Amino acid sequence: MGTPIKDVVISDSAPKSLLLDKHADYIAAYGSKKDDYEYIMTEFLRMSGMYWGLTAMDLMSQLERMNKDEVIEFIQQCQHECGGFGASIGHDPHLLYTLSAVQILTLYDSQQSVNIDKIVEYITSLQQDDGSFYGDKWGEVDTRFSFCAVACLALINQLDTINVDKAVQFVLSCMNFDGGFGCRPGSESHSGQIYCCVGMLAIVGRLHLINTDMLGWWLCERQLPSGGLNGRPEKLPDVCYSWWVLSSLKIIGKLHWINKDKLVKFILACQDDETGGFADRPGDMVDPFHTLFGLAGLSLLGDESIKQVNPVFCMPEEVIRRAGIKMDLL
Amino acid sequence: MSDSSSDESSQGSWTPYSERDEWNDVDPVCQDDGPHAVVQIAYSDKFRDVYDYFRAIVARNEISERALTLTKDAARLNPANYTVWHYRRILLKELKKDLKEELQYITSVIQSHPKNYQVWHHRRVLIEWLEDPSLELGFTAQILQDDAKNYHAWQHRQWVIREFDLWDDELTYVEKLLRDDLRNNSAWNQRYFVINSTSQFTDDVINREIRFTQDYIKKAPNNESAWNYLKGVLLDRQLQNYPSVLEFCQQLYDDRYRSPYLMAYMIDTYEEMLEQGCENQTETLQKAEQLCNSLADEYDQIRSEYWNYVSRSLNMKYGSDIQQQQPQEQEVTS
Ligand SMILES: [Zn+2]
Repeated sequence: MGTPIKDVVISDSAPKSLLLDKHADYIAAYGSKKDDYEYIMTEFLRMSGMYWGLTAMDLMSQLERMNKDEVIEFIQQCQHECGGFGASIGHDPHLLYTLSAVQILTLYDSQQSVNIDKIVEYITSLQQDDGSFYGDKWGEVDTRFSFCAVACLALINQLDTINVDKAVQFVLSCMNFDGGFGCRPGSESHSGQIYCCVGMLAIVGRLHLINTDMLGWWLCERQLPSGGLNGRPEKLPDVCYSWWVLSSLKIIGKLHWINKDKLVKFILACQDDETGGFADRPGDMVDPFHTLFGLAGLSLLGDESIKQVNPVFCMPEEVIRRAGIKMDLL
Repeated sequence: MSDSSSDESSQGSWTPYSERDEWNDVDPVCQDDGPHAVVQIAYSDKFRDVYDYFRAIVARNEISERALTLTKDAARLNPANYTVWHYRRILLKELKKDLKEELQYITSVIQSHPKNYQVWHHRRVLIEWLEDPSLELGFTAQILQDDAKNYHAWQHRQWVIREFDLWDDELTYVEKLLRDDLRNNSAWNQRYFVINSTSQFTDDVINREIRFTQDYIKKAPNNESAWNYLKGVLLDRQLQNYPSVLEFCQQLYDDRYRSPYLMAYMIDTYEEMLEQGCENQTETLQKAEQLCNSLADEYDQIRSEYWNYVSRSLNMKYGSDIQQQQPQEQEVTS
């Protein structure tokens, strides 16, 4: 029976080669247009936006085009007394933006420019008895925050300050019957959450607790005939989900289970050959978020004009190596 | 990801905060994105006006009715701004506001922005404060009517059900959703969640669930969600103890269905039989390998690497005589 598959069609006119210079110009210009409506509307996630843009630039070997001093000063102003970072100046602290801040500082080899001890204090204060993490003082629990906490502590080399066993236990309690992970125990498997859980387990060296054959199959089932990957069954393919699935597969050593050529074709088709940047799907509006994940995806797929990306931290491999961070990949 | 809707049509006549008498004691605080001088151009005067005053009340920690109204304006302009919601909750507590009224308000906000983390979290905190979940199942059902896979709505629903012990009618609800769309993966997940948290997967329940799932698979043999659920139901069991399921698969296969999920289930069963040292090893291995090969070559080419891997690992483990002849080739697998 002809089952309609939710997917996209890639037109013949879609870009087929990587437009690196355009992407670099797009990102460089994005941060300087501070009066654009779009820029102002995204103030609530500014710190993550900066991480996406700066990491994209570094992957394209163009980080020096960005104003380092200005960035560091901004980050310093976003740290609160509790140690956590807000998305922007005057915004409340949150684990999501604390991780973005630490990622940027690591990218710039400038961790010493903020109060590291305070960060440790902040993160450890958010761990709960069941091992889970609150995202901030308002008490939302999500495996995304388990990843943020562990990734952040790994980057500042302070992993032993939390109860790692309990943190692992909580993440495992979110493992589902299909081999995937959700955001809390019982929540539906979702590629973004899987990336967080698998990444978290990789950082603390517990990947052996995953059924990699089962998870690997669920992940490679995400590839659609267009070549793109979706986040859950019956959803449309998307560049960001392609990254989360791809990096998870890489971490568990099953990257070769998907069709690389088709995925490359899909990601390239998501570029805008006029403005530069990547969109979620071919023909949509570009943004820095999908631009980073488009580039990172291509890097994992072996594109040598982009720096090698680390699948766990989504940062250049050379940065992770320089910071002396070890993790186990299968 | 970015779900902030930007173009709110202005409702009626709007007076900027900077022109309101009751706000003239406050100095607005401009957005500070670092040392660059911000050139003032019109992106949205209203947005700038509201947020400049919002920053000002946060800076002076003002607890007042007017601050509460201001957070409403700020949230309307950008519901994804989590700091606005944080501050609003502090105000609600301090001013001892009617939380039922707030629940009504957040209901309408979620209806306009159903994929926003902050608004759902706000609702959850309200329900915790009110300790009254009576509207929640109806409300989430209403949201799921428009988008049956809305992750936030499912999160909220699961939380309410677990927190307030509202399991009784949930399977009925799930069945209704599956009748509407048998590929609704969220609904299958919810079914697992409910059973796993209540009756659990006892022998009787497993048999019931097998029948239930088979009925759905018959309607759509290539439904990934249903097959995954079936596998989940039997996760801790031996597939061989359910020979009727393999027969069911074989029947579909004989009817010329070539769904990868169907064939994967058969391969899993054969693998388990091999593991248990079944009688006709060679024949069983052959069947499994044949399925793998036809998936790799014909029915699921995009995942040919995966099927080749499965085939190779089976051969490595159970193709004993072949293994002795060609020890070299087995190394390639990992
Ligand atoms: Zn996306």
